Amino acid sequence: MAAAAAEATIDGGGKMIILISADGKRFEVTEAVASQSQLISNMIEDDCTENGVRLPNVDGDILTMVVDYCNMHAGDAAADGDTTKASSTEELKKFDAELVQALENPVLFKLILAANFLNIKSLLDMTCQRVADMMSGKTPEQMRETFSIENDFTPEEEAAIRQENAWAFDD
Amino acid sequence: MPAAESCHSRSLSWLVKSCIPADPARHIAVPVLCPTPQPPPPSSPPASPISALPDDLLLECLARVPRASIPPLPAVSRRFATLLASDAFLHLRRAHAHLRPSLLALSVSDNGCIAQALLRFESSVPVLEVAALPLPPTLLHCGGSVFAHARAVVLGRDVFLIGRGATLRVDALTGAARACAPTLFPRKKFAAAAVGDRIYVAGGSARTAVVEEYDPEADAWRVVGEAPRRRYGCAGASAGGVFYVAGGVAVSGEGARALEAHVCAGSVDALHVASGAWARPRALPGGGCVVGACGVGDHLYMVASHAVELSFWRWCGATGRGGDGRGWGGWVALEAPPMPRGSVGLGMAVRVAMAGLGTNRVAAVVSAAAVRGHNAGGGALEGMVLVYDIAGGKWSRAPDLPPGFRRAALQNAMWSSSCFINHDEREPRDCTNRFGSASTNSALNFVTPFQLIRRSHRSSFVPLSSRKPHFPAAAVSISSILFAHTEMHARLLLRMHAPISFAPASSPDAASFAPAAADVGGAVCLGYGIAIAVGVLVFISTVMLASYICVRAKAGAAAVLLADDDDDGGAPAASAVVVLGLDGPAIDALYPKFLHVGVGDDDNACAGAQCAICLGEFVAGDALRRGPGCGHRFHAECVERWLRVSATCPVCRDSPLPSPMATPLAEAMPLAAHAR
Repeated sequence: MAAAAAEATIDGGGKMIILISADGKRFEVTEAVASQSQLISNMIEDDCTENGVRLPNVDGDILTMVVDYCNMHAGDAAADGDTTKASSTEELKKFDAELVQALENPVLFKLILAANFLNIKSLLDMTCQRVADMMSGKTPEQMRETFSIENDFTPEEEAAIRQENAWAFDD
Repeated sequence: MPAAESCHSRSLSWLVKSCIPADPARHIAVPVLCPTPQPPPPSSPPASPISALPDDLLLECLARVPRASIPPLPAVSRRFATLLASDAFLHLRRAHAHLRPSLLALSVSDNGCIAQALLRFESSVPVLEVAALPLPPTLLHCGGSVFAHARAVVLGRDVFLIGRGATLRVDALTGAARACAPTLFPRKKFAAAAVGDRIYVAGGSARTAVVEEYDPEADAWRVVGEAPRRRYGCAGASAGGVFYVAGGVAVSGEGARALEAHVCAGSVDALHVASGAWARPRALPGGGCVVGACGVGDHLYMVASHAVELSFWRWCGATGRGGDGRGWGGWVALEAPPMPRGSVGLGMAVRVAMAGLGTNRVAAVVSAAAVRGHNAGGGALEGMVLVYDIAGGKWSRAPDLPPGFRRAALQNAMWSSSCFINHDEREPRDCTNRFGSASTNSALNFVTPFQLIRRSHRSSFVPLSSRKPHFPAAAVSISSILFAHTEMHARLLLRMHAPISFAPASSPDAASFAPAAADVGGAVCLGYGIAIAVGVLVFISTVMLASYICVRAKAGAAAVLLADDDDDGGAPAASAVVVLGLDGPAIDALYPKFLHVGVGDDDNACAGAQCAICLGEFVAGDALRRGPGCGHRFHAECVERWLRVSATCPVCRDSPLPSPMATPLAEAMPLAAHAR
């Protein structure tokens, strides 16, 4: 682990930080990118990142997406007042939309968990909104199917709930 | 290396710590009842992924669902239902700014269907949505009549519609409606408001004065005290922990037999809920009747009706000093609600439902309708929404409630009741949201000033009408004296004529008697003397009586002249004329005779279906006459007597004659025009 302490410094760039996923994949990111995660940002403050950051809850492929996302948004926080940013916000939105649209069920929820664990607010917002969008406009059956949820109501309970919400089920 | 080790352990500790969100504002500690289901079904490797989400993350997702898509959610699974019912869900939606002030109006039809209209105020232009809300099956048997004059109270996320013998609870977020425990005593037109997390109701029953409290957790009502007055048709509001009951009619007497009612107008009873003590704040100044009330913060806002205008007041109630009624703040007059011309006045009934909208606005739904027997004259309005900006002190107008709600209020088949919802569920992009959650309450107050208006009508009109019902007072005095005047002339002529005609009649008699008297001698002479003496006496006394009457009548006319001149110098000529009536053919021509056919006859042209002269109701088959211009109707025999004397309509003094020069009656025209 100590051997892996690649405290690389690129010319002009900030400190590099190694992220290690649960399945051992390693990602090298700049401090600016990594610090979008509140979790890592705290660690950087505490100066505990020399040996790389182990993220035991995050799979490699999920971490890939998180790192992609963070790379895209790296400039965000740093250069808020920067006028050159204006053009790229469009791009950013497009990227976000594509990323989110492409997500499939299991990956989406893993990404939510990862975003929560890493404490990346914008990513969490985005992914939760995606789930909400998937939920909207669906009947209970469709929703159970989409999210493979087991119907744990007894028939009587379900009938009662449907009575209460009678008007909601009018088609 | 030791440094690295220690660092590593610290980093691990950070990992552990970081499981608790660093930013407490982002994650609200949520007391979620549902135990996190940890069903890791090893059998199915893809697992049900959404089940893997912890509750707080699932809530984050649910809280972002657009308003319109929430209702089906509780039916998905137990976990969903529990999460959606939790307070955390509400908190999260509020944190995500999905809650906005809005107004919910409910309209109940007698077939048991509730229509709801939602007015959302989140933007500069309020948006209106309408949806149906069927009654739950448990309430279907009683139909919509129980919710006539129901009161709506908002408590947390639930809207309680409290009717007579039934209570409906509607979850404003999920739209789930279910029946709750009804009030212990059946009530109607009562005061209701939420104080803290309980609902209080008072009034609306002649049998009891008790105040009831509803605990939504236990779904049970209990009696918490007795109100000083039994009010009916009162308005309720809560502000600063005080439950206010205002206005209405005080009902006294035991049982339904000996009901006595007097108007409470602007009086207010205040129950300090924490101490259970009643206080009586100063009554609303200006003698108005409370027609609507609501509380915003510690302040009570009231709209009062003064029969011909509305006024708007703020009561600065002081929290914690409710015990003795002293040391309370006073009434502050605010800008009156802007009412369209003709919507407020005698004969118009105004209803106002009010509620606080957030902490800086007061919303009022105003309806005005004509009292039975009065003509609205285009002033009727329904579902007009006014919003008062507390900071700016100005009223503004929001979109009216939809036409369905107008009809609901216009027709007696449906009743409308309004409540306001303080915060509404809102989705910025989605316009199909239904309605929302949260906090203040209001209820329709049904027309308290009404009784006052009616009463004053009675007192001023009934005694008058027992004498000469239907004329304006001034017109009555003048025309009746003129009437008397002409009659005197006629009688005088008759009397004058009588002796004159007697004299020739008696002289031949006397002449024929005279020779006979001469024949019979002195006895006859004596008879002649007596006859002549009596005749002379009769003649003299008749002349004196006639002249006396003549002088009296002239003096009376002069008095009228004087009085009229004093009153108004503009019409001296009028009092000098003698108003003549119409003759039979003219009456038939100008006041056509027709038979009353009964109900359904065009009653719109005139007020009421009774003869203003004899005060009798028109019965089918009665012969009536109708005024040519004004349309006022009278019994034929009643009005004919008048028309023979005066050509004007007894009610409005309208003259049927088209041109001033048409008949000798032309001279009456200035008077008629003036009287109008």
